[in-house]
Amino acid sequence: MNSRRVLVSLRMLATEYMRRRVTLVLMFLLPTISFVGVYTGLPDTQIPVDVVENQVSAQISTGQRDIVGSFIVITYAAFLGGLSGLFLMQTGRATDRRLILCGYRASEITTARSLMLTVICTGLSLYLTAMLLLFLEPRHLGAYFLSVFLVALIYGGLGAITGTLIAQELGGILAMFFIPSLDVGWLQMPGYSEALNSWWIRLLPGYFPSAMSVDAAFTPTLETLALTWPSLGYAAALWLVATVAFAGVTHVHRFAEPPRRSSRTLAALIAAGVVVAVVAVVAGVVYLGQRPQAIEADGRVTAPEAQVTSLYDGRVAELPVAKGQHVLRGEVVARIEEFGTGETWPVYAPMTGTVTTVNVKENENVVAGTVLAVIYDLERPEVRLEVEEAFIPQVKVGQPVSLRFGPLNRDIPGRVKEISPVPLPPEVGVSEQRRRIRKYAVTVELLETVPNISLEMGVRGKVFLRLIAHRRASAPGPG
Amino acid sequence: MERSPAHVLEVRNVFKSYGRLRVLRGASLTVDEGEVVGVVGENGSGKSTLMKVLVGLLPVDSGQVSLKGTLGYCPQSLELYERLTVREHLRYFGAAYGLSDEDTATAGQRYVGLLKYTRYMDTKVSALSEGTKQKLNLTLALMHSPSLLLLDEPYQGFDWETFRAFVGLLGELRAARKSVLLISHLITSDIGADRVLTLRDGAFNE
Repeated sequence: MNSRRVLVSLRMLATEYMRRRVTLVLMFLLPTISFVGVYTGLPDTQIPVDVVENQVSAQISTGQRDIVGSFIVITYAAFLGGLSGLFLMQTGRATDRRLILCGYRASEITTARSLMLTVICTGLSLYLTAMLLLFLEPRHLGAYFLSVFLVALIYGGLGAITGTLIAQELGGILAMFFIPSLDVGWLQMPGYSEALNSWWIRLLPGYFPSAMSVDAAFTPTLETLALTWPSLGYAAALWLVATVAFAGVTHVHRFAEPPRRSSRTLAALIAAGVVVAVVAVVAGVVYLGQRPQAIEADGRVTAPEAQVTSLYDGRVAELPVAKGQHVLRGEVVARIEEFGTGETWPVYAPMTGTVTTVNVKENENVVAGTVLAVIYDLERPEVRLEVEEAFIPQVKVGQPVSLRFGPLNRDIPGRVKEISPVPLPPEVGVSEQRRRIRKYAVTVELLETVPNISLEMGVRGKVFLRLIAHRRASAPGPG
Repeated sequence: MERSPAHVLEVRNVFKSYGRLRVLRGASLTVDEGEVVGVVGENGSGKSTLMKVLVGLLPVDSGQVSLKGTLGYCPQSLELYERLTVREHLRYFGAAYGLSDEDTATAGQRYVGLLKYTRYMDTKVSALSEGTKQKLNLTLALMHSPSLLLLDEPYQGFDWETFRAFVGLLGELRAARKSVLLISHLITSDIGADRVLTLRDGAFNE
């Protein structure tokens, strides 16, 4: 392959593309009109959407506008990527053949076009993602952008095949409108498509990027990033088929060339394309099937905590403890001289631990219920994970947890100890969309001693809902 | 026919059918170095099919085609990119032929000047007249100085002055020992062809 020829071809393609003013304007205008339509025409109601997190099915509640808006982005990416691929191959087909007669190789032309398509898809994805950002903030922005780019690239490959095989412009445009609308715009959309439960849905070009886009836009944990590889495989296989088809359509019968060899090469290239596509799809499906069933959540290090409170209205007569002091269960923390009777009552530590806070001073007056001091059992640190409401029904006491502490580079085992029945207060300083997501505290006890951890240290936890061993154990036995 | 080393193009007994329609039925011809050969024929006589076979756009059913040296081809239809300018076409085809940027510029200037359309160098093809498009079509076939030039209806849309320039160009090519095979429904004596062959029912009657 001659790199100069590829570069010249790329430059000419870019020049031609920039001169397609009407197409460029439509490419930017159509998604804008659709966005405005969705965000002014659709009711802002919450609808349930089934999502899968590490094989854990959950129903999240999300705005109808948001799910439709996010799917408009990937549908347009597929549609416009497809049209770009179509136009790149369909425009000047006869002249392409003339270039090949004059010395270009088919692969040089298709390489330049695939590079051009990559540039177009990058621009398109940036534009579409930026437009979505005006209305909706995806949970994982980078991954969402990547999914938009990948769907554009895959459909660009499909458009390139269509453009090579269908000479009629209208026929190609109809195909490139109909297929992405059906695949990405409907069948892959959770909440609207029943087909998501069928096996064949995974074979469609839009499957992997769509799954990735839902994961990136709406779920707390991003676990579909690896779907980038089958998506790229899909796109590469489609481009290989487009190259082979282009080479076939523009084939020049050199006088001395025996025709058999070239047809064997073509057959080999087609077979290679099909193999790459099959491997990509199978790898993606296997990957989806093998993920452990778990949910992930962020949290902080905490410890069993006890508050030492006064039972009487009175005066702090004696305060024998100080902040940082270790106390044993039953040890006297303070003595209160009761008003009226003048009697002095001891206040005992309810558990063994370290005094982390002392709220009063000697001779200070207190009322019944005043928190005199707080004791944490730092010998038995715990982790408090903040788990989103959608997954709470599946979290049970006793489930194993894998914990990763900020500074430590290894996983520490733990076990679910307690699930709070009331939600945590909403986060502050975040978007309205984020604030709507309620979270619950799940306390996890550590099963191993962790060196050098301190209270409030950041933790990422993975709660395993079902393990293979558990599955076997829970299988119904005879009788 | 004995093969002579002076033949730049040799076509021997070529047959070509589209399904049951037999178009070329044993066509044979030779073009020698420095020779301008014209091929005429009525509509449907097989002129375009012969050209496509010679260029390699169609495979032959039987027979032989052999070519010595490089080939330049000017198709009958205007096979150009509508959104690119004349200069951009020259650069694109220069890269296809493997010419350096300087050689591309020199050849471009020479033929564009000869065919008198220098002022359209930076005009998009979509804005050119049919005659000027045909001049570019011809320039793209010539710019790499091929040993044999295959011209399919090359002077359609030319005005009289450009036609004269074209005839002058043929003379120059002949002087430079280049060979030309020109296919047209009409070849007058103005062209100054060395030989004019008539294709009838898919074969030549010399």
